[in-house]
Amino acid sequence: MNQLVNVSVPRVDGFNAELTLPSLLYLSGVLAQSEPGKLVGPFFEDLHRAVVADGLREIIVDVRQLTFVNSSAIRLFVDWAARLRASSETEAYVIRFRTDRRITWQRTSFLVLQSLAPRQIIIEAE
Amino acid sequence: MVRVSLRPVWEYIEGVREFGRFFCETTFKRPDVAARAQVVLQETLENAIRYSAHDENGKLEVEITSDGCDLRISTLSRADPAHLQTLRDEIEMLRQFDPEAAYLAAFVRASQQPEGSARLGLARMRFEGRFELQISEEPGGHVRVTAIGKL
Repeated sequence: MNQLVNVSVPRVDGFNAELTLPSLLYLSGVLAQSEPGKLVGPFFEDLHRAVVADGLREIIVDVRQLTFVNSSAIRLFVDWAARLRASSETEAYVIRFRTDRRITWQRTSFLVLQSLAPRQIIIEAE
Repeated sequence: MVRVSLRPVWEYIEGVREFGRFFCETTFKRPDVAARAQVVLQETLENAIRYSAHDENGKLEVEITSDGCDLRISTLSRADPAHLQTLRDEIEMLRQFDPEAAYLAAFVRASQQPEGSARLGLARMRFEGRFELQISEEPGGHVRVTAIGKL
């Protein structure tokens, strides 16, 4: 059974997450709350588990409309990269981030994020 | 150029950040400078609010100034003394690395401490914002954090 379909999308003011099967996550808005880890962190964890359970080889994360985040939100992507890096060979998959190079935080932070898991994180910048 | 004085509460951050972005974009006609200022305002205000002494005298001042060459963004708050040394040490540690290496080191540290706080903000201000950071103590237990970046 497809696990990704069961992942609950968080509801956060000013921030939107849409999951489209088979493997596209679209994030938009602003994520700069006091504790984004509590609001959105469990969603990213569930997503990782579902991608592994479904045996997907790649998930696309489109952040082009995620216009601003604080460093606590950036940490969510760091944690996801750490989970990827810790995955076994059979669990391994790729995250393909679609970014907008005109948005400063995307240009700088995803560049550095890729260093954490260079074989498993691909950055597409338009 | 701009001085804002407010109570150190989280709900004000977005308004000050967006005003600062608007102010920089309008004044300097440079969207890139406005985007950098936005990052610095978000991260310095978060730090100041998280680690302020939350008493009835709590107050937070934000200043944005420029001499035409540099942009300075500073926050003045009554810092929790326990945090002050941590902040000083962190800024000192960051100075030992170039901004990109320091940001990467902060990412690695965060990835190794999943239960700890992110502690990415100061390194982010240097790499993404291209601002250098200074810290100074002022009378009354106040601490001023100043971010200085080229226009």
